Amino acid sequence: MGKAQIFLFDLMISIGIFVTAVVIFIFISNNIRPDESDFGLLVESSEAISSSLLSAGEPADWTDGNVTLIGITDDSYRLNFTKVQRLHNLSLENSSSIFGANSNFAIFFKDMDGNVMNLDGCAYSNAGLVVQNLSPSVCENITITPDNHLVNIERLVMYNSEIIKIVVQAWI
Amino acid sequence: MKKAQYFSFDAIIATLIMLIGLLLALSIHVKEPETASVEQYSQDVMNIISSVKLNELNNSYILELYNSGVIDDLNKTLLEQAAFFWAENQTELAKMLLNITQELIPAHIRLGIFMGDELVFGNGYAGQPSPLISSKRLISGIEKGKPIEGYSSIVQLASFEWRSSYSYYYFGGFVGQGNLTVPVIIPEDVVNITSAYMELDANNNFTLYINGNETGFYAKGSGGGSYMRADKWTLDSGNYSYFNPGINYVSFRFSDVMSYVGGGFFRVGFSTSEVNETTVVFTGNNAIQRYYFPGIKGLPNLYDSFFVPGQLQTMKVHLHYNNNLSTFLTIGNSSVWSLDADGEQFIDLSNSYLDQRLDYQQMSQNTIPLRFGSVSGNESAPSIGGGSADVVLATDLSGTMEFCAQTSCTYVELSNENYCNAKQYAPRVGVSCNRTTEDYNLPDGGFVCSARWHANCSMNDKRKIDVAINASKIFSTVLLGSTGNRLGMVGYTGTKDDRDTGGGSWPTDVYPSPAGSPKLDPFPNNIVGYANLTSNLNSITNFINTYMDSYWGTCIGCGVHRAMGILTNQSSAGRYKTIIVMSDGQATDKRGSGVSNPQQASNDSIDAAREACALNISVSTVAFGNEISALGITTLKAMASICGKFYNASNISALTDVYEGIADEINTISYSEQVANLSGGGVAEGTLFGDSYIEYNYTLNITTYGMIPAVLETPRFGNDVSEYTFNLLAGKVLSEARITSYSAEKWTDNLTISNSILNRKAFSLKDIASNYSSIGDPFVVYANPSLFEVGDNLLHISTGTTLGNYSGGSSDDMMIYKILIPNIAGEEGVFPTADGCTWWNLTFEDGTSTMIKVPSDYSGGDNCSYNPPSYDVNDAVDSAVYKLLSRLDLDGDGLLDVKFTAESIDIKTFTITNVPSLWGPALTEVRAWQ
Repeated sequence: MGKAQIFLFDLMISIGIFVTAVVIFIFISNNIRPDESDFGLLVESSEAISSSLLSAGEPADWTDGNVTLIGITDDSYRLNFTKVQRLHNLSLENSSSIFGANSNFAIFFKDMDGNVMNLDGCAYSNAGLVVQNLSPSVCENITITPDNHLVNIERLVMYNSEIIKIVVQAWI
Repeated sequence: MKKAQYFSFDAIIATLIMLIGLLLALSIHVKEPETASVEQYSQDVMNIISSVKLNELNNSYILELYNSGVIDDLNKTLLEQAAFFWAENQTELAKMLLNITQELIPAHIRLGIFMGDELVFGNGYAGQPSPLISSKRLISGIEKGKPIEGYSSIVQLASFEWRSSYSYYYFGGFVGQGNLTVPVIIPEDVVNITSAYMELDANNNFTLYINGNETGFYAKGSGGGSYMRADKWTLDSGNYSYFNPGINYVSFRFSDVMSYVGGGFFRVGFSTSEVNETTVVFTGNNAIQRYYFPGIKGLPNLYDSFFVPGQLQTMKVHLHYNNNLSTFLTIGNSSVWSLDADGEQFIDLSNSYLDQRLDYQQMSQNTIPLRFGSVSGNESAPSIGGGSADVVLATDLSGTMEFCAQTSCTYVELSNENYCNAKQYAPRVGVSCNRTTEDYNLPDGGFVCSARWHANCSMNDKRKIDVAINASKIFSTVLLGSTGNRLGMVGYTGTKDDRDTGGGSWPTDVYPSPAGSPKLDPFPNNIVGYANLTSNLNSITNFINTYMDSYWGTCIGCGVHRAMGILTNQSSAGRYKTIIVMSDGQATDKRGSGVSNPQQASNDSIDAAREACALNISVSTVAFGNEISALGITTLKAMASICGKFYNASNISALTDVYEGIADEINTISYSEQVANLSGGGVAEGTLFGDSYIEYNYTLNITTYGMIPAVLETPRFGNDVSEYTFNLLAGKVLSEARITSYSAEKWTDNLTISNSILNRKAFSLKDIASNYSSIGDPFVVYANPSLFEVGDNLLHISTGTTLGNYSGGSSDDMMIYKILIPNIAGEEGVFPTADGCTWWNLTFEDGTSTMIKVPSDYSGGDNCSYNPPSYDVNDAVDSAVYKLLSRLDLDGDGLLDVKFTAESIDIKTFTITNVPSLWGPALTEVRAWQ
């Protein structure tokens, strides 16, 4: 094989390698770019859930049977434990419908030190999330690994002489 | 490496680079949870710190502050307490308190809490971060550097010994005609009388009586009065003892029975311990007040007004009079009553009667014209309006009036004329000016003669007598052009004696035959001729043409005396009487004894003028020509100085202008739309008694409880536009406002007030009637206090005689007003202390001084002063006391108008523990950004 043939063959191989690399890069890049419309809906959904939770709910003394707006405060930034209990007992089908959630979501509470609080349960989620107690009042940390997006919303409320956070996470 | 592998090797490297980049991109791709928005943190932090109370937080730092007393109220919210710390300049404490929010915020969120734009906690920033979210709250009762908790004080004047005040009686626009008696009401609890004052536009001199005690004679014009301006007199303090608590009767007895007052008031100053006005009876929200008619003895003829300060509910009228003429009462534009009956009458008009004839709604809070008089339209009834002057023009007809006006009549004495032995004189070159004999043939064939001047002047010259004749005719035409005026004439000369016959004797054969017949008197002696008062111009003109001729000497006193006689016998009370005396030389003769030396003749002239003035007849003089001596001028000026004016027509041709000016002035002065004249110049004997009244019941619009009333006067307007800017001070309640208006022969017809709204109508006569002459004429126009605003208020008052014919007012006009001063004062705000003070040298209007401790048990060492101001501005009590004292110093002269003792002041102080919006509000803000 003459020199010229050798260079031509090498060029053809290198072009093949480079073209293949470019095709793969484009394919992967397209696949890893976030879906903006999905993310926006996720933010809106989680904000709506957090705002709803910060209210007293509708009716104010709501139950599973009559609730139209799920709120867990007494409307003055004080967490109402009874309503938290009702939230935990609320059917996921009902809550998902009222929240208008089209994604996975989890609701839980953190104290000022960042510990997940056990308020008659560690978390309320439609994603089969299982969170264990570490103590009667503290749960294990919650770490969610979404497939694509995760939105975290924190709202401040008073509970038992402390300012705590209501955490709403939604993901897809 | 083989050369043939170069390209493949490069491609592999490029592929690796792309894969590494891809891996990095994948590692950066969002797998971490999304954080909450900045906006929600800003809102939540603000909501939490503004709603969570300190006692809700289990926070050791808060407990520490509470236990140490730094925080005394755990019911405050976090934000309130932090704001209080900030206001008290304890920003570090505020920062520590708000630190409780520190751990709530994720690290990637920046947050700052600002108060009044000052960073109190968190992060500051430079430039304008984006997004920067702000949540705000207003906190009342907070202001940087102001005390949050402190003292506020209220000081109340529980009682007082006395206060300065005034009682007024206001005359109407025209009150007459005759002697007047008016009531002046002084409170029963009067402490003492401090002043007595009156100002009137009266048409005549009068003697003043207070409760029957004569206080003095007051000559018209002696108090600075003139046309549309009042005479002003302050009564001597020796008269104060004549006043008594209750109703006082002040009488004006005029020199002429038919006199009148065209506006004015009588004012008594006093100190009283009473709070409320004694003329008003208060019953809950209602008040009962009376308008008292003036007592009039003569021809009752009243143009006045009254005012209902609130919503008129009921009213009634009581009239007590004695009038032989048909009498009527008009309220507003409604003729509510009339009666043609002789003798004393008592008339009561009930509310139901009046309610059918009057519009109570329209009358409420309005100035209501009031007219009481005699019905016109028949022979016995008085005529209303026009001139009211009776004038006598006394003209010098001495021999020198025969001289030519432009050229002196010099002469040379010749030998005596034969028959009468009268001297003859040669004329000066170019002028024929002879003193000649004049024969008067007697019936029995004899004759008498005289020595009179006769002049023949050049073409361009005139005899002075001709100038005077012409001027007198013009004077007559102008004066009698005003209906109602009358004119009389007197031509005077000197005594007919031997001198006038050239030194010889009057012949004895002036006695005609047969013997015993009356002695003939063919030539005038002192008085050449006269004409009685008449309004007939032709009659006066005939007199001028017939009698005005020159004779011998100059007896000015004779002319004045005759004119005085005419006026005394033919004029009537209430008419304007004047004598105009013209002379071209000095007086040569005096009354009675005839010829005298010049000084005696001068004195006699002045005496005659004085006698006329004493009879309320003004005497004005005119010096005619330039040949009059210095003594002549002095005499005429002295005559005029008593009760008239002096005019100088040294330029002979100016006499016409001078006469015309005098006639115009008399017309102006004497003219009145409102004067009543009885036919034949008669005098009425009617009486309107001063117990007549109008009583009205109305609903009060201003609460007077807890208020001290004070009556004040503005300066005079000082212009005839007439306008004045009244400044109403904040904190003082205007409860009454009266604007005086001297309108002379006109009606006060309009008052407007301009402030933020221009030309607010306070009074309009044309809204009541288009024909002014049928309704009353207010001297005092009341303005509804609601029309005034704090600050400048421009008052504009005008006068007129008919609808649309408006003119200005008097420069003497002013506003008399009443303000209500709250007897309680408290300085706004919170003060660090409320200790009190000893107030030294508080001086009252009566000159006395006192010292008070406030509070009365004050034992500290602070000393305070009202004048000059000296007190602790950081002390709540001191500040409140100073404010109260300022209110009690009505005229701001440093002297207190309300006298009190230390026991009179009731001090209430209290501590404010939770300030409700005394300061601020302060803006607090939570700003968050990434």
